[in-house]
Amino acid sequence: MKLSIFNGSPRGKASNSSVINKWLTEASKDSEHTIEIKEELIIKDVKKHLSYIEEIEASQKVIMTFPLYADGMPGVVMEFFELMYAHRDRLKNTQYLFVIHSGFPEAKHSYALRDYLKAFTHKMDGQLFNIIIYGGSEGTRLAPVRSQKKKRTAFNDIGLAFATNQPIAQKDRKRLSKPEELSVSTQIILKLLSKTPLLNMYWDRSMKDNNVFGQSFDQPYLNK
Amino acid sequence: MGILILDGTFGSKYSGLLNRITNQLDSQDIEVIKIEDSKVAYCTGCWSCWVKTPGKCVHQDHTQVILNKAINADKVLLFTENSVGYITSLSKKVLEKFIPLVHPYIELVDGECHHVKRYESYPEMGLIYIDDALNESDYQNTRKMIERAALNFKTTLSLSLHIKSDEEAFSHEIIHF
Repeated sequence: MKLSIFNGSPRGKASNSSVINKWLTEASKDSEHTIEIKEELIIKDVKKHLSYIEEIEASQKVIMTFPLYADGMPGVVMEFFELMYAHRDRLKNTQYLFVIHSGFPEAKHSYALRDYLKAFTHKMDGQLFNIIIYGGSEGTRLAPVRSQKKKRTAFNDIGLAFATNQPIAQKDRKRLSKPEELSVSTQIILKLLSKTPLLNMYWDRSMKDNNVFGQSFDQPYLNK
Repeated sequence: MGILILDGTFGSKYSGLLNRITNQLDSQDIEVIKIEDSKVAYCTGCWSCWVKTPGKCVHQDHTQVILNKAINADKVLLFTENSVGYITSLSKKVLEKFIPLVHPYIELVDGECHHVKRYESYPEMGLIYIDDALNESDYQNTRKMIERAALNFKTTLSLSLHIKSDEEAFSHEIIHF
């Protein structure tokens, strides 16, 4: 069985998508099952798109991981979807696992894209294994390994289930998708935090590091 | 400025439709940008526009012109064909380049996390979805995604139309957009 794994992040290998893909495949690579997993394919490498079609054609299963970008898939992923659709007769019956991740903590932001990916799989005459939504992903590639152990295990389990034709455990899906929406108590906490520098501390620090904190709210495109 | 039309269609097969629409719009101040003919790099997620050059995309291509015209327009109209059940990759590429127009800070809006405004006001958004098959499911999926994008860009999708390419008679809502 051959599994192709795609990274749709515009950041390429230096991305949270790449970390998630590693987590999705490491349990399968270590298992006793005969699963051929090739090196991660980077969708932002547009010149390789035609060769990627051949990869999908030769695979039974495909994982695609990408960030939510302006409430959809990244534009370069859409460009690849257009090419896939043009070659859909070659790609029938492929089984897909999609992972949408987002910096926003709540899964709700990705629901519309999830609905689209269901329709896309249908248009491709493919089989949808699952669509995983993972919120609050922005720090994934930088956060300490220990702090992410449970999420990593959930992705390990989901990836192995996909590779070995097993159903995924709902607890794994829920662990990654929660919160679906912000609870009232979380909203209260966020409202309180928004009155302090804490909520946006990361951004303030980044702007200060670049000596542009004073220009934080600049409006460079406004005609005076 | 009045209306900025971002033409995300491929080739010229819908230019007749676009001409019929622009001829009937009330606004005299209309500018059309054909994305396919513009040099616009994909957003790379570098966040320079948030933490290095606040509010400004680092790509020195037509992104600069599009963002200037968009934020100063009263309305921005996405003119796109149905592409695999969504907008074209050309339209999507430009839509996500609007990110510098908002601030990275997070705030709660109707109980959801969203980015904070950078500008006092934002153009209303419109969607013209060309689809000769009139696939309702494709249109509804697309409309939902564009509505969410409009919300994150601090505006609303005030016009959304699902039309065939040979449409000649346009509704009151588009003429007065």
